[in-house]
Amino acid sequence: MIEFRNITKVYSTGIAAVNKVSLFIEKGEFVFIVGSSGCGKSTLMKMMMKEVEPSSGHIFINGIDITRISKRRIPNLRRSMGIVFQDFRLLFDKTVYENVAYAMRVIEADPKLIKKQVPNVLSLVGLLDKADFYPDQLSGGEQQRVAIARAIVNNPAVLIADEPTGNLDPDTAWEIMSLLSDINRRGTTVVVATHAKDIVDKMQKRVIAVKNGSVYSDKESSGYVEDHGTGIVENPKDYSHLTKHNFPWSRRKAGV
Amino acid sequence: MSLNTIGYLFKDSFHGMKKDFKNTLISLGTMFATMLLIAVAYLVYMNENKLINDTKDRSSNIVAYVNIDVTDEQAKQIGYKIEEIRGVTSNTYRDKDYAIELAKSMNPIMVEGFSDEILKTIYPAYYVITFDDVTMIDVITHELGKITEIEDVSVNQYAAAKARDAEIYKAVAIVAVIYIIEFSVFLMMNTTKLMMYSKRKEISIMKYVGAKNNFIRAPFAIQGVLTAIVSVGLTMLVINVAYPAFIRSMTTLESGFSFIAFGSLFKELALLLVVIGVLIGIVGSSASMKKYLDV
Ligand SMILES: Nc1ncnc2c1ncn2[C@@H]1O[C@H](COP(=O)(O)OP(=O)(O)OP(=O)(O)O)[C@@H](O)[C@H]1O
Ligand SMILES: [Mg+2]
Repeated sequence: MIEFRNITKVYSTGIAAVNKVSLFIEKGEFVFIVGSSGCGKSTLMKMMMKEVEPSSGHIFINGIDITRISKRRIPNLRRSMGIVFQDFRLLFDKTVYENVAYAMRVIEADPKLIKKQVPNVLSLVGLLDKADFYPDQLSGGEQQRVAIARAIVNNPAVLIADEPTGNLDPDTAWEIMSLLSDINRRGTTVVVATHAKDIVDKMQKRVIAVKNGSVYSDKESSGYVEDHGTGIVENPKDYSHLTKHNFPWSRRKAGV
Repeated sequence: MSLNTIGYLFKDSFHGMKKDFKNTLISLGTMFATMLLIAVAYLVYMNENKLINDTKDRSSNIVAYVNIDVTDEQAKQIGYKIEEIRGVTSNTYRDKDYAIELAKSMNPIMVEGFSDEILKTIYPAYYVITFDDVTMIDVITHELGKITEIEDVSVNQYAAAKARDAEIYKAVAIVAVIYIIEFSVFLMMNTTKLMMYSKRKEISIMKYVGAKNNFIRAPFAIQGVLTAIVSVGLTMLVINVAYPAFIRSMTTLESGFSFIAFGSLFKELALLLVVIGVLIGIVGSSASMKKYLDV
């Protein structure tokens, strides 16, 4: 599904933000990318959406080497993925409904399909009743739900979210993360870069820990440990740290 | 693009103009000012042209006197040189006999008692030179001066005065037109740039959602065209009232010049403004958003 093959990114300033990273994310996975500030998380995400070009290496998404596609085809790449940012990035002169519909309009979807699909995703994120609101009439959490609705309205195979809860309080952060998990259960591959350690610890998903631009641990586990080890874990199937506590996703609906 | 998409883009443009009414008013105001200035420049230019044409007085001419020692045969050759001077439309040679006859008929007392032989050393042969463009008088006079066989050049005073006036008007008009156009283009460009700068975040968001450049440009271009058309309409309305009023106030000053009636310029001016406006609307918006599209 998503493969980083020996990716290095050196910015024009000479900073090596990402250093020889190789990763494989399977279809349907939910992956956290964690690590301290400046370790290169955002750079990894930006390379997936071709906002930043790697200095060397290749990135495959759905079998296509995206480092090789032309600038003109970037819109096509971005249509195949949903993107969510820390700062929501909604169009402020459009309503909630129009923000979500916009993603369908750019691919010239059938208006009938738009009329059907937009309310569907809005109800999925719990905002059907605010369809005619403008973004500045919503709370941060609600705005992020709109952004998520927009990201999934075209049923992308991949959803990538860079710090999606960075601007939200802990409770709201939980709601957003569980929403992403719901989306993952419906079959979408989800990649989330985050600082929210407590959430990561509890969610029991695969965690890729990045340090100084390199992957230093990659575990399908309940959490990651700051063990300052130098060895890069090549095999992601490391179940040794599993401490499964069933996280009750349904609690979101009860108002956690 | 499908009809549905085009319909959406139009609807989106209207919605955007309504939602961001402040910016709509600003761009409308700027475009209106631009169009008005261009219209004024156009009217100044057209009237200036008419003024110059009016000054093309058929009776005005230049007289070039041939050196008294030059023989008739030599003098006739000068005609070819005069013909080649830029701006000259005709030249007529008058020999000494003609000059003497003319002198006798116009001022008989002056020439009384002189024999033709003596008069031939006094009255030179000459060329009567005509031209179409009074502003060329200086050039023609200068070129005539270069012909060695020509002793003296005299310019019809009335024509010369008009030529000087026309020259001054033309210079003023050209400077005014250049300033007006420069200023209005500057105004429009800056407003558009600022407008796009304020939209840069939205443009980048659209790019993240996977919108292609033309899809992003379209609503802005449509807004530009709509703004242009409304501005042209307003401009024509204003000019329609202001221009005749201006003419009326000018003719009471006994300027002696009759301005072009607006009716005969209306269509041309409207077309000119629509073309310029639509061009600014489309090119201006896409040019100034170009750098924001590159994400
Ligand atoms: N456009 C850029 N030009 C130059 N250096 C950059 C650029 N973007 C990021 N960097 C540098 O690359 C390194 C990695 O940055 P990146 O944004 O990927 O970190 P991050 O892990 O997302 O951090 P945070 O958790 O604070 O968001 C940092 O040292 C940063 O200063
Ligand atoms: Mg970051």
